[in-house]
Amino acid sequence: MSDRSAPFLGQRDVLCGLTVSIVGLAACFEAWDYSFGSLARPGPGFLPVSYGMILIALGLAIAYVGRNVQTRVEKPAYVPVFAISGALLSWAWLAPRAGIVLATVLLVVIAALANGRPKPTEIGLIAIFTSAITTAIFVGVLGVPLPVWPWS
Amino acid sequence: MIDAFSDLANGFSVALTPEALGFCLLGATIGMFIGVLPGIGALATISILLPFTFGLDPTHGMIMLAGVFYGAQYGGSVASILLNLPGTASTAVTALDGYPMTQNGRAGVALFLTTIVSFLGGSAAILMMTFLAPSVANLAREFGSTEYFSIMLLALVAAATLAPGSMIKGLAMVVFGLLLGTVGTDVTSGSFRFTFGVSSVADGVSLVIVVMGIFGMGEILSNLGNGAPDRVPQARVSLRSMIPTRDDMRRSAGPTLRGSLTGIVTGILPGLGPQVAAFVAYAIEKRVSKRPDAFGKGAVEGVVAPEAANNASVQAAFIPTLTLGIPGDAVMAVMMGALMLHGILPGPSLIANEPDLFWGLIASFWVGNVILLVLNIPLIGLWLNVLRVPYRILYPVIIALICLGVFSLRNNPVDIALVVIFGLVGYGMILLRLPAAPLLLGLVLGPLIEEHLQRALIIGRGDPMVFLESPISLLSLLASVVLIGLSFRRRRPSAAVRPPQIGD
Repeated sequence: MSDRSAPFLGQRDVLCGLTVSIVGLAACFEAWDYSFGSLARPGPGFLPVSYGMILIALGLAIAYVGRNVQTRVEKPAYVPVFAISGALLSWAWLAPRAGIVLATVLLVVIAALANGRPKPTEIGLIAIFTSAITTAIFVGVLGVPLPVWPWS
Repeated sequence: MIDAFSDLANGFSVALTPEALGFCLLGATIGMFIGVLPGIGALATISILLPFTFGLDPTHGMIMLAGVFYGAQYGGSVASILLNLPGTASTAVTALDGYPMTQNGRAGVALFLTTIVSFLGGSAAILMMTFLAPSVANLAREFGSTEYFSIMLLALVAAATLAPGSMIKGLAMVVFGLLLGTVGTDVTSGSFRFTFGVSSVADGVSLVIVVMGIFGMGEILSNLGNGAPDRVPQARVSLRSMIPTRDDMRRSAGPTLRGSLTGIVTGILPGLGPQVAAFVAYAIEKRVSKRPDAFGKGAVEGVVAPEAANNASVQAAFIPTLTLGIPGDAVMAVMMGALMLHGILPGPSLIANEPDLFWGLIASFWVGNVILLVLNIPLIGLWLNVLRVPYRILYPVIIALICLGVFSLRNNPVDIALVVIFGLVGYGMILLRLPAAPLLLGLVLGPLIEEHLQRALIIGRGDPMVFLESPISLLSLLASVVLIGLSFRRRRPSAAVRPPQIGD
């Protein structure tokens, strides 16, 4: 795992600490306009700005403590990331328009692409099965009012 | 004493109604199922089931969710013992001696003892809860905002520093959770914070969305990235092989007792979940044992102690959550969130205001543990078949459940986009080795912390010394400082002993 030649930003703890600090910085930046108030009457910006500053400090501490730990960050699994995000977003877009049955079929097909070796027949069967079962549970058993078909 | 028994009897009258029994059975069975399956944690399952409980009576909903949590401990040990493949992180220790027992042809005995001991450990913790919880609640009734703020702070610091992994990373995730808790409309001033014009987050980021993203989608991405084992080998167990010898029984008594106690203590303390309980119990047994070299080669003690401990810990964790409103780990944070979504605030007055819920839930723990005791052994054959289901079939179903679950909350597609965002954040956290459990605690406690801080400061007219004037508050703050100080001293590369873990 450890690799002496990891570039500075590729070192896990350095990257981790800087990311945490950036989140803190962004929070301070956004919350700066909220009224800070006083100790006797803390305003809406009091805690967000405080949290942001603590995050900046903790982030720098993580990077400092881990600066000599030469562990590389693993490469993100890009194919699963895009397939799974795409599956969820396609469902969010399609479900209100065409109903949950079709949206779920599409979701399974897109999600299945995350797996290296897709088998079309198997994916088709999983898609139909999943769509039928989830619709039956949510609409049939639980009675949640959801759009089922494009015309309903 | 007498009171506790009559209250508990009342609880059984709630827990033994056909409906409550049904939800208990359902929860416990689902828990066992996902406990057996590697790759889905109890936390992800509970969050996926959360939307289902909104239409239910809160008591029934909690009974079901709790059943998933402790059922997973039973199921997880099956895969640990038979395949050296822990279904949940807390049963990883069980594999150390459980799998060698399988290799020695004693899988049946290991499974049988595990089931019995899990029941005993769970029962010890439930007994403790029955007698302890009301007095904790009575004590907590004296607390004001100052005390609450300091105790919550202590709980958050403890969760960040005691959990395995880097202390600073844990603290950073607590603060990140607190920051997420400020998103939405500020209660006192009514102004929007961090909403960026998105009206769906005006009420704050929903706990369900964060959990589904980080623990549902994040965990799936991590499993796919690591190339989760697609198929697992098979093993056979006959009923006859399960009967333990007299020697096994004798050697199990001490470890069961010590394991249960370890579990109860670690369960009550924040930050120490069932996996720490199991790990500590194993270490204790190895230390007190007359023949420590037998450990790791199929010692009965090494299976019994951690199994008693993780079940006791899971039950005991409900004590601070229900009586103080301060959850100790991520699963408890979700449970508390579930109660709050039902309009019930866990805390000192819960027992008095919702006796049916509280005592019904405790009684259901016993019912559920008996169900698991009876079901676990006969179902082992079925669980072995469950292990055959490949992950490539499971994960699309889980994603579909996440979508439908989130959408059925408010019929708002934006919520699913938020799940995607938190899923990517969660995956990033896994890649950077940032722990997710402290984040959830921060998110759940954030609004309460802010409320109590403001109130305490207003009472103290802006003088922060109010936090040092009350003895309980002063002690909590001192304890937080000591915890942080101690963890600076003990952080040396010794973490390699523990297996890596994601969510549960």
